[in-house]
Amino acid sequence: MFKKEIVRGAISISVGVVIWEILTRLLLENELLIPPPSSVLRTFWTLAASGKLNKHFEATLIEFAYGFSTACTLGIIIGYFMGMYKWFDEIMDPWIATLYSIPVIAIVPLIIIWFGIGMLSKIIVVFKITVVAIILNTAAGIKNLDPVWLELAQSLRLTGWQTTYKIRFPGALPYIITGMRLGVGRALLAVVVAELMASNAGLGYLLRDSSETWDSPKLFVTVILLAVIGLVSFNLIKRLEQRMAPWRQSAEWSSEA
Amino acid sequence: MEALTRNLNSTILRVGSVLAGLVFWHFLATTVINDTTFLVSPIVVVATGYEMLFVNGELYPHLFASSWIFFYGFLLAIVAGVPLGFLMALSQIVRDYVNPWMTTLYTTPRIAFAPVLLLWFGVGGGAKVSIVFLGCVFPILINSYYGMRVVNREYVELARSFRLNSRALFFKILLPASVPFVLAGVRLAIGRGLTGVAIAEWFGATEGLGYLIFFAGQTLNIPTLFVGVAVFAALGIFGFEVVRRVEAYATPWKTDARGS
Amino acid sequence: MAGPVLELRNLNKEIPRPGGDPFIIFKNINLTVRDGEFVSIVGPSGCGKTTLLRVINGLMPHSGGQILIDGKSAEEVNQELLMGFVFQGASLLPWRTSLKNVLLGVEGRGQNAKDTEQRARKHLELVGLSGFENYYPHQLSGGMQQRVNLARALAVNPRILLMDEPFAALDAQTRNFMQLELLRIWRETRKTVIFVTHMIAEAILLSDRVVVFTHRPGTVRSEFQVPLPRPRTMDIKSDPRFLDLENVVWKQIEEEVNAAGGFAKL
Ligand SMILES: Nc1ncnc2c1ncn2[C@@H]1O[C@H](COP(=O)(O)OP(=O)(O)O)[C@@H](O)[C@H]1O
Ligand SMILES: [Mg+2]
Repeated sequence: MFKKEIVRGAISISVGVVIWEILTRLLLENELLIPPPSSVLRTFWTLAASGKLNKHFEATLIEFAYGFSTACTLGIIIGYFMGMYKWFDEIMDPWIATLYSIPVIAIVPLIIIWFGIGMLSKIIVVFKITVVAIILNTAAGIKNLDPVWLELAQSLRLTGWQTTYKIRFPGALPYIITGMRLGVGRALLAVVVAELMASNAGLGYLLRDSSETWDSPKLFVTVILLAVIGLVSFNLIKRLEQRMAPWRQSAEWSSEA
Repeated sequence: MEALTRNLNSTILRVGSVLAGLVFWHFLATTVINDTTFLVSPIVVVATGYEMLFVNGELYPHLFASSWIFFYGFLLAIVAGVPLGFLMALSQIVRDYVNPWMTTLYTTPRIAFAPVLLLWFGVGGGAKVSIVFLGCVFPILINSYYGMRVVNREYVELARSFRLNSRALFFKILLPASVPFVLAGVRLAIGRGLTGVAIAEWFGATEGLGYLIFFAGQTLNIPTLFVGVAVFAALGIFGFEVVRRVEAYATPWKTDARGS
Repeated sequence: MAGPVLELRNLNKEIPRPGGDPFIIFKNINLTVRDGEFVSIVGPSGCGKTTLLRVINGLMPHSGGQILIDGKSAEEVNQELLMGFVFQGASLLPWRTSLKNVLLGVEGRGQNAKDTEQRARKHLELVGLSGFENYYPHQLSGGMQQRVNLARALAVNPRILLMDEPFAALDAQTRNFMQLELLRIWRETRKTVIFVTHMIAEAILLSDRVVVFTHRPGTVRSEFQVPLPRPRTMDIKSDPRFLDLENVVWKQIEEEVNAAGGFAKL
């Protein structure tokens, strides 16, 4: 019926959850250290019903969406010009390398000082962390285009604009998507970190709030929710990548997320 | 000659770009913004860095504290990640049972685990090291797994045609074929580990580079904040370079130098 | 006279297909190879030549029939290293130098390390690569890589050498050189060789006997003794006997290709 690995995966997860429930019920007096899954579930229900969860979830989602879409737009444009013009590449390269080598977490305090504790600082954080991978991958995609395609475009007397959107852009698309995928996982991390450090809404805020009030069921709800978001967005992007560029072995999910 | 001009041009563009940026930054800080709790000139940043490094040595305790945490977490990640990755590659059963857990842990933003780990370990070294460990272990584990998984079928066939036993198959074919992948994972792990250090030190540390940065942020000490960020970046670049060297040494077949 | 080195009796290979008839790769193959003989197998692409070599080498089970090596069933002697396989791609391990690649099959088999290394060096010399011991595969040309490949297979002192289109990926000129080199090496080692190729002239130039396969499911269609004296040079390609044989074999292959529905169907 089902594939063997799916069955085994399901067994593995359910056994894990059952052991967790039994151990926490048997061994622990209070639920501070690890709450049993049943109480995590109950807390989830209460939080969801009160609309709180929704509010924080929405805040994080909006920050993510704004930051990511800006990064895609600007990243593709900058990357395109870097791939097209050597001089532009030379000018941008040292700055991008610098930006790339700074761990986001380290620069979050600075961003918060500059852009405040509201949504804007989180959007900037998401932007910062996603844009570099998109720029670099777009530029690589444009640079690595098979010259034969460009000759083909020339022989068909395509205009510069036609060459861009019929040849260069589709040719570079697989790279661009890879760049986006690399950004997504890290952006989620970064936005949560920024919310954790200074904010009044978002899943990161919830994380801090529950850990400061020693509310472990709530903490676990947040952690599991973040795990689910991570899993879903990761798989969505992987699907997208397989659809848009099926010729690329997308088994290399190893590289980064 | 032409190549020389091109190189020269490239250098001029790069240096010019950096200089122009620095000058712009300087004027932005000194004339437009003129608020040292918001932005300071790069000159001030360099001076502060010099002071912390060579005059009062303020940086070193933080550097050492962070380095130890990084080192332990990173080492543990290699020790645990590489064998488990290989095991997953070699055994379908292990793979099927471990995979759902691994994927879940891997795709969860690591910061989410930090409060849980603190809850378990307290704010001592254990929590910090495990946060770094969690950051480092997945790229290493996944690359080890993947590297051994995709070993060219031809090589395996070759080993069989030479009647190598499974030990020889592992040590002569599978292991060396995976080395570049493992090292790529280690390279990725450096950045993750440094992020982990910062996260760990944000939660109730009293020293370390992460602490330095967050404290500077809270007290609006912009020069120190910039120095801390720069040191983090430098550590990342340094770690990358070390792994690159190790790579060149451990996988000589990937370099272009002629054999002796 | 000693018996044959290799005997295939009614050898079949099929791949089961879920919910359908099995996919027959080759069937009813009967072939006898004498000690020291050089036999080529030619046939349209996809007729199962590579699969046959892999089955003979025990990399894949057969589905019926018998393989006898020196009169003993292959299953019985399968664990031993009796055959050297020269793969189509050079399949050199990129992390091993030429010398280490040649050592792959011989090291760690109980002999002393010095002797095995000596042995590997000797074989590199045999294929004309002394001085390249410490080169990595990517530093070698395609022809040199195939030489290492050959040395690696020979170094295990195999009873039978199996070669799967070893020169197909080389440019025409290098291929000619390599064919002459193989003739020389064969003269010096007198190995029993089974050589798979789709190039008729190559088969005739090298072999004592040429075996022509039908299209898939492949089986022996005909065999030709090559009536040409050794040692051979490239000049032999203009010998009328060479040309006649080439013509006859080509006609047969052409028929097989047409019977399979033309080249487009292969
Ligand atoms: N393991 C396998 N499973 C299914 N089909 C196979 C397998 N190995 C080979 N074949 C098929 O058998 C046929 C013969 O392959 P091969 O022996 O490589 O032919 P040749 O070397 O003569 O060109 C091909 O159609 C190939 O696709
Ligand atoms: Mg073949």
